[in-house]
Amino acid sequence: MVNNILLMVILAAFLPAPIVYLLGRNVGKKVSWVVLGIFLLSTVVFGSLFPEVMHDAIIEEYSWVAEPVKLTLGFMADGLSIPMVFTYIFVFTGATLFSIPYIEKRFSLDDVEDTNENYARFYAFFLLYGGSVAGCMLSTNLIEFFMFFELALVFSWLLILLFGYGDRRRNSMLYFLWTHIGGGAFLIGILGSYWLTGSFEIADLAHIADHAGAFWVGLAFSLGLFVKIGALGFHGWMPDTYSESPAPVSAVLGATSVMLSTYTMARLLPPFQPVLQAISGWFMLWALATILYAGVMALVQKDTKRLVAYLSMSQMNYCVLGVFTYVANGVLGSISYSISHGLAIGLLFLVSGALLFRTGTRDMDKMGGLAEKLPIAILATMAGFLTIGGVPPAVGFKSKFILLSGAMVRGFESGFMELFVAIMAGSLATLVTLGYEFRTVWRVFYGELPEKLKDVSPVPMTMAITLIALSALSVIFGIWPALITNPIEVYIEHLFH
Amino acid sequence: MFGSLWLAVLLPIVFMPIVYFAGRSIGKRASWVALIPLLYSTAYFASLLGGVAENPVGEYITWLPGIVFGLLGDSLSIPIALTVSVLGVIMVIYSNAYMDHSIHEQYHHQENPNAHATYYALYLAYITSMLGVVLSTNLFEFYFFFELMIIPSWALINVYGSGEREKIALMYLLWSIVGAVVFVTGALSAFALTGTFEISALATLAGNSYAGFIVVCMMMGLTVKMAMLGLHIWLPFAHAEAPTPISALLSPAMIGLAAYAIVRMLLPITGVINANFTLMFIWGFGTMLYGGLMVMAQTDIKRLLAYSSMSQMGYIFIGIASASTMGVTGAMMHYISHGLGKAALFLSVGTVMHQTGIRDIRQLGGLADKMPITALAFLIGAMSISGIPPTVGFPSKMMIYMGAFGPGIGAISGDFLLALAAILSTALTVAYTMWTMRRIFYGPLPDHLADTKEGGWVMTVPMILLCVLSILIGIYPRPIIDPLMEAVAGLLA
Repeated sequence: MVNNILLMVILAAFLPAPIVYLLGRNVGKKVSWVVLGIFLLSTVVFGSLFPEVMHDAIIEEYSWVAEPVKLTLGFMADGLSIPMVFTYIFVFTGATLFSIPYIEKRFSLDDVEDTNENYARFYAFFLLYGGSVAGCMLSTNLIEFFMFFELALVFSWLLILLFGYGDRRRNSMLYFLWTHIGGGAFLIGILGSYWLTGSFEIADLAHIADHAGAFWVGLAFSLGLFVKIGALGFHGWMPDTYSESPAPVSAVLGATSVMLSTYTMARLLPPFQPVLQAISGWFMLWALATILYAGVMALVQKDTKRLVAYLSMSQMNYCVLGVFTYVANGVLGSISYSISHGLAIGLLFLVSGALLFRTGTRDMDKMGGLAEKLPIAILATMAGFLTIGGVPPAVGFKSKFILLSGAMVRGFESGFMELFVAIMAGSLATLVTLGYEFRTVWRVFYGELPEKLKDVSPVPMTMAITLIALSALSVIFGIWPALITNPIEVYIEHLFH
Repeated sequence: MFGSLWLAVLLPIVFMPIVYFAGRSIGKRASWVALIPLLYSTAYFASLLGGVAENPVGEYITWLPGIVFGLLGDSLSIPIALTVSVLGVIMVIYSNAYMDHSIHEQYHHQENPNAHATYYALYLAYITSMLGVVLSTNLFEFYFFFELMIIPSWALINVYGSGEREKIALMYLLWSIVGAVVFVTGALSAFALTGTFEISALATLAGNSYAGFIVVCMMMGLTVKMAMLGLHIWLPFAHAEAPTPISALLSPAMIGLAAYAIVRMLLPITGVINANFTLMFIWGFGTMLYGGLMVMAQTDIKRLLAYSSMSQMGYIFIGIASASTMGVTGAMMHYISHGLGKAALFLSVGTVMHQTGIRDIRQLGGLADKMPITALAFLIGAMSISGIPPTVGFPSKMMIYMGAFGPGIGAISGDFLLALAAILSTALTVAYTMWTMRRIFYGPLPDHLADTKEGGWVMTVPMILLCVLSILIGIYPRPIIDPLMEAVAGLLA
């Protein structure tokens, strides 16, 4: 194994970006294959690290700043980060492949020029966005983390601003401001923790709960992340941003929200258990409220992408619920559910993109009977929905079951409110989920085929490959969950023992 | 015999792609390919039948750290699993002729090998999920198979059903999932209190202050599947409009599995079920009476059988409610009698529909001369579910009543009167089955049925097999009852 493999993967995203841009200006859309190659290679590298992280974490440290504060640029791959970052980059790879026909069509609309310059920008930013989030998930240092976090924000903002649909200036601004507010709260947490522990290293957070004031630091971290995950009240940006971005961007935005937030919660918040335990029940209740609110909103949507946006918001908050149970199974379930969710939400945004691509509409009232016309789309939709709804054999089943079992343990330990949340999350919320999922399948794929859509042709090959690959991974993880849960289990054991 | 429980359970689903791809080129003959894994499973379970009473077979694998998925073959689970796999074998043979016809109709008389391929592939997945439910040792695993069961059956109704099949399939799906969700609430609470998903650990909940809550949650979830009164809305629709071989699996095999699960999981939590004998008895009795009366009111022959399944679930529930060795063993035996008997009834009625194209009972009559084997199958099936010797229904119903009288005997109490009322209402089953028999097979033969013929051998052989099994076990039930009774006594202890 190469000694500085992690640094090289991150650099593989950042260094070629200017080349991608310059190349794109000359060759136009063909540059997508270069980006695809980079992502594919990164996926393979992360995949190959699985066996290693089962035993030890891989840590690489590079001296960064010596004075006045010692900062190291460190990368750590362990049981938590590898399954996360692997799946995340896998979604990116899929989205890149999917974007090849999709973006061409996007650029054929009036509001964006179909120039080589635009292809160059799109793919360069897309690559940088992926690299930044991967950097976040591997960081060992809070300042480094925050730097990657902000970079990711900037690149995703550019993608929405330049290539979004509708009122994209407003949407991207909304996204930027909200995420910045979250980032601000998070930064307060970072500085607060430095004040208490005298270090920016994530590892040094381990004993933070011994310091007075740790409660406020934990609160700042939590609130910052709640914005990113769209908790009720902090979700103003989410539906618009998701639904008005081009499908490949929505897919990765959705995956980022859930995976990055859950990763960060699972990484940073466990040491705060002694101080946050008291209010964590209220966070669980908050998560339940979000799940139900967004679920009901999803029931009434007509626009396929808005529906997926609300669906994602609703389901992501299961992860919040799981992490704040502070029970081993709850945290384990959260992490693996966020992986399932990242896969499935990427898949669903891509399906809605494929529907838009072929039918030219996002309005479900204008769809129907598409099952026979777009067989791959319905298979992918079902795979995504089953994963998110927690129905076997998709991966969501196992992760949600473990998550809820953790919530139930917490419920019986703590008291009435926590028990109520656990029961409601297991029953009512699951029913709402299945309600909108099946309603959607019904409206889009069954019933009368409208006259306009009589000669819809199947999705192009690249899209089909993407949809099948993402569905397949969900099913594989579902049947053989040990692939991802074994490494995570290593991390969890380290946390709770 | 060579093999393992995992192989016997998973072989059908492993054959799924083989059957699918074979079916795309050979069409309906895919049913013979699908028969291979089913025959293997049946043979393997049959080979275990003799020995499991002394040496239960358990096979375990670690699925996730701390979560062990196991399959347990003991004298309670093997007879049930064997019933499921026998029905699986019989229905796949019957499907060969029946589905050929109905797929032909559905696709406007064009050959459609893909439709056959999908049908048999889904069929195999369905059988695997049912076998998994029976043999699971772990709540997590049980729930996995329980949910898995819903998907192929939903798809089979959705694609191959009759009438408003898509709506009905959706209704079936939603009810099933609501049930599963309520069940899982109970299962997760049990995990929270016992710290393990093992089914055998549920017994330790006895005496816990949450035991009542857990039993109610899990039982509610399971009784949706059993279609107990009030939770039965989906059943008449789903069972009437599913393709007949699937109805014959849905109705006796699948819904009865919920009863088996109650016995396996909830009875050992002592103190809950026996404390609520009267309540459960009334519920069972109500289901039995309502289902029976609704049968009388039907004109559609399949809907009629669907309601009769509901009424039989009432009997099984009463047996379980008694929480006595006799009653519970009777209930599990009745799973077998109902399985064989109701399957014979569905196949008989399916053959009538297949040969005449009519499902309205008012247009039928006098078919006994034209279709003697079909009529005989109906008769034996009817005897089986009514509990008339020499069929297996006799010992099973007998035992249910012996159990039901157990707690009430000694004084003229409310429970005693209830048991009396229940036994008297058995007449209802006899009445509705025999009256239906009369309406379909006797009386004047209408002119439009004058040239009706008996179904081909692919249809008659499965019916004969069911009748023979029902009578054989009825004459000599001890190899099954004795070990079953021991297993039940073990659970109740």
